[in-house]
Amino acid sequence: MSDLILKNIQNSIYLMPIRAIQFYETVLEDWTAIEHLESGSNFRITSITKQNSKGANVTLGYRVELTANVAHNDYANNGLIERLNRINSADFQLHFKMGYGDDIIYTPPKMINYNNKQKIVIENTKIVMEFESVELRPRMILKATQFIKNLENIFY
Amino acid sequence: MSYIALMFSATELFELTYNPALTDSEQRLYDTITPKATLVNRTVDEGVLLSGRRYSHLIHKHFEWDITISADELNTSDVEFIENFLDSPFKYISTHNGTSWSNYIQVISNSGRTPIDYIEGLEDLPEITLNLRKVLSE
Repeated sequence: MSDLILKNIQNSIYLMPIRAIQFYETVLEDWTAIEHLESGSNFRITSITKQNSKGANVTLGYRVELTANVAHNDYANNGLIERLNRINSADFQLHFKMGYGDDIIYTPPKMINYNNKQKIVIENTKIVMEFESVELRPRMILKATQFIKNLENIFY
Repeated sequence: MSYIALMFSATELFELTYNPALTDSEQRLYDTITPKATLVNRTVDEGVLLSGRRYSHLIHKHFEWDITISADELNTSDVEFIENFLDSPFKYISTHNGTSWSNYIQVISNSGRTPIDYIEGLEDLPEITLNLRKVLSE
């Protein structure tokens, strides 16, 4: 093993605002992508722990919680609800995109305040749809949670 | 760190010295989340004489261990190993006190369903609690 020393700040801390949520249906090989996620979209990874006989907290796994605030709100015509219902009944991957780049089937809209990219990918989850009104419009809130045993295959 | 070793055999052991060379299918070590303390379970004969005097005679006592192996140490092969351990006619444990291993101690387990629970109902978080009792009395 070699030493790991994270010492320098320059070119080590990147801006990667949350940009998009994408779903990949593994059987149909179809992508569904939603860009322009609104503020309040976030991800959170918390640990599930248990105290051992020495008083230390042992990590058993992690709970991933994703929230995406979706601005596209012409629900009667844009087909989003029907599509998400179909995705929910199938096997799919959920990609939570941060920063710019790494897109497969389209060129994403331009964005600012980024200098790197990263994505979170989870599987075996379900999407929960909620709706709320903000100022002059309604918007959709997509939520997904997933338990993962370790953090080795979640950040890409 | 203190560990507990679970070991099983198809035949009774005559050499009880801890053997670190056993394979994963015969012996596994666990740093259980519960204390690895040896508990003493006493069986007494007690009653009241015709004179009214109460008595309590120690008949025998057995050592016991309550151990919980949680999801941080349990993968599918560990669950299979513990199932085999419980099925085995000759089960042994050895405890590590921080410097050395004890001799193997023959134990028995409770009957019934495999004592496995799933934390928060998650199949990836199994937890097994064993009550192991020494075969020989003290």
